Amino acid sequence: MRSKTFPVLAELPTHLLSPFLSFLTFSFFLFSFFVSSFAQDFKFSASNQLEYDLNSGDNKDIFHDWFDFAGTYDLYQAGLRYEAHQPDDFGNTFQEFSYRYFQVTTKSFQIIAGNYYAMFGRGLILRSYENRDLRLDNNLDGIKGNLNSGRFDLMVLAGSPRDGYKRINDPLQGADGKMVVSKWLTLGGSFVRTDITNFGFVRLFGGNASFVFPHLDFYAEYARKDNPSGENIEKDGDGVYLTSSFYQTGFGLTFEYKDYKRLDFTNGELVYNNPPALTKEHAYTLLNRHAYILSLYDEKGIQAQAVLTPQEKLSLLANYSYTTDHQNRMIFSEIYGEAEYDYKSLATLKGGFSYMKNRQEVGLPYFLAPVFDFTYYLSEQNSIAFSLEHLWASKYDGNLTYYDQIISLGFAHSPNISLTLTDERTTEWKTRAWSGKKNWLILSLDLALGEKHNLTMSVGSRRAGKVCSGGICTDRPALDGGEIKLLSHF
Amino acid sequence: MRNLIFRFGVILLPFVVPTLIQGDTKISSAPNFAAKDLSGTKVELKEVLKGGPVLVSFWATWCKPCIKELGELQKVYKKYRGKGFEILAVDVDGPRSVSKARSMVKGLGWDFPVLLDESKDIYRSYQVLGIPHTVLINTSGEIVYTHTTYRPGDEEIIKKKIEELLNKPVQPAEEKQGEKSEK
Repeated sequence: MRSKTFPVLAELPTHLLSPFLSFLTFSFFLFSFFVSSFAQDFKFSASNQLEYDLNSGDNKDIFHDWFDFAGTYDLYQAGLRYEAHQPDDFGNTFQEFSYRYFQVTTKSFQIIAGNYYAMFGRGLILRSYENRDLRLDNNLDGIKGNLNSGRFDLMVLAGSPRDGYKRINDPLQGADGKMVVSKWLTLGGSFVRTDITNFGFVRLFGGNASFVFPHLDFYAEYARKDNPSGENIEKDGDGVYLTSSFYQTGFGLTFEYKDYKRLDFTNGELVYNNPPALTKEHAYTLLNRHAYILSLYDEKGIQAQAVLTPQEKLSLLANYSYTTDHQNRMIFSEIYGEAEYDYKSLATLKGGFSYMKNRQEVGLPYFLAPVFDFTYYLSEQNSIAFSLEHLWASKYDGNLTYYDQIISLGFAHSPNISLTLTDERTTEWKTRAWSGKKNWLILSLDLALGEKHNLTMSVGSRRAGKVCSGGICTDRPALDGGEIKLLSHF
Repeated sequence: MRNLIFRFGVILLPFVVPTLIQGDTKISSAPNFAAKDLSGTKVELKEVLKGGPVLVSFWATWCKPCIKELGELQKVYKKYRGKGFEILAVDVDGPRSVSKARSMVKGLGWDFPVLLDESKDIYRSYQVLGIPHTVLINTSGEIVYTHTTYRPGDEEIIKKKIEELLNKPVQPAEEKQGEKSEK
């Protein structure tokens, strides 16, 4: 059942690298600290992100902290991250040096030993990345090498992935190459495989082509997944992703298409690949809360987006997305349009409207959601802002309807201070058994402390809900009390 | 929990207090980077800095304040580009919306170079913690101003900083290096 392909890569003792790398990284730091007192060529940088929710009532306190430190000398760089979650959004308590690396970079070559992120193509085959808002970090621990010779780019890697707070001891090996064939054509290919405990070798491979002309581009990627053979093991899967854009000054049009089946590259709860989600990514809270959750198992979809600036002060955007499964059952669709107008540099008005159907949610709802933003400039540095999000939902099971609404009022003094009062209310309690709040009010003060620190303090309550990015979602717990967020650069 | 907060307070205090007391006068070097722009041409910070100061702005197609800020920075760019000033807008969208970047940039009429940072290597090397994040770099490769988030009017501060840099040109890093070695 086990494949014998690439025995050298398969036998790489990535698990033995960890103590050695920790030793190497810390030695580099100690050496750097010592030498930096008399050598100016050593450069250090550090950052810290702290989030603390202090809750009253049934909700638990939540504490997150990520501290990153990096040191560079000439071609060499080392870095580490310490993170603490006591507890995190889901009640897990955890702290560790989650990321450390040593890297050597020249103009045409880079090698990293330790933790790293990587993406092949547009993510159909491999996407290892971090998104702190989603509490997601599937970095790899091992070795990565990049070679760039102008026309050719080659990346080779081997390592163990991270799933939440634990390292998976099923090493992964892969390679990704790109070749610039001509000024307008680039070709690429990727391969990745892993030996999953109690399952066997899973291999993914694929190719991509990118055409870039002066006002038109086109990108196509094909990926195939090979499962081990055996009873009760699914058939192999494959997928395709196509995108094309046409643009000239003042107008841009993008079209995307995807079709994949059984392309989910997973190990337990860990997901190794993340193809593009062909839906509009919303920054509005209510629209984001009902966003589509990507399925890697069975999906077909299209998305078209047009951006138009008919005059300097007016911009328009229209987006259409439609996703089905292979039985042609619609899973998600949305029509969205927005217009933004700058009135004599005194005020900005923005209005948008979404008509969304999401069959992933209970009750097969559809939503109608107008959104509106208004900013008035009191002076060069001072402004006030008003924002409205209204989402009207209708569920097909019993024809129940409700609405959610968020109104916020804010004052900003550039570049240091923002004060925002946000009210959310819902009538969803009419549609199902309900306990707890029906409206939430929160006051947030955002302060830039010099250039290096940003402090946000909030008091009040905030509704729990889904937060999504690129089709990947997490549940954000409710807040009832106070919240502090501090972003620092040193 | 309180012990933990105390522990982090103790760890952070030596870092935070000096920064607050000293203000933002401490100058640090900008990490060099190379990335492809929307036409596929490789752009390296070190090379761009030879022409004048550079503003690096981290953004994404879904980020409302980023688009607002870049709209304002486009006006700043029009005013100062002839004097050697350059903007490098680093798109950190990742695979999910990178295909929309080209049409959005052209559709909104932005003229400055937009670089693709799909695997977020540049984002990490600048230790960015949130977008929009702007970094102004002088011709010596030193970071003279950084700012996270966007409030209307932030572009006025950036304009002042750019004018300061253009009126007091700093020696390019390579010339400085050359002088050192001559000595």
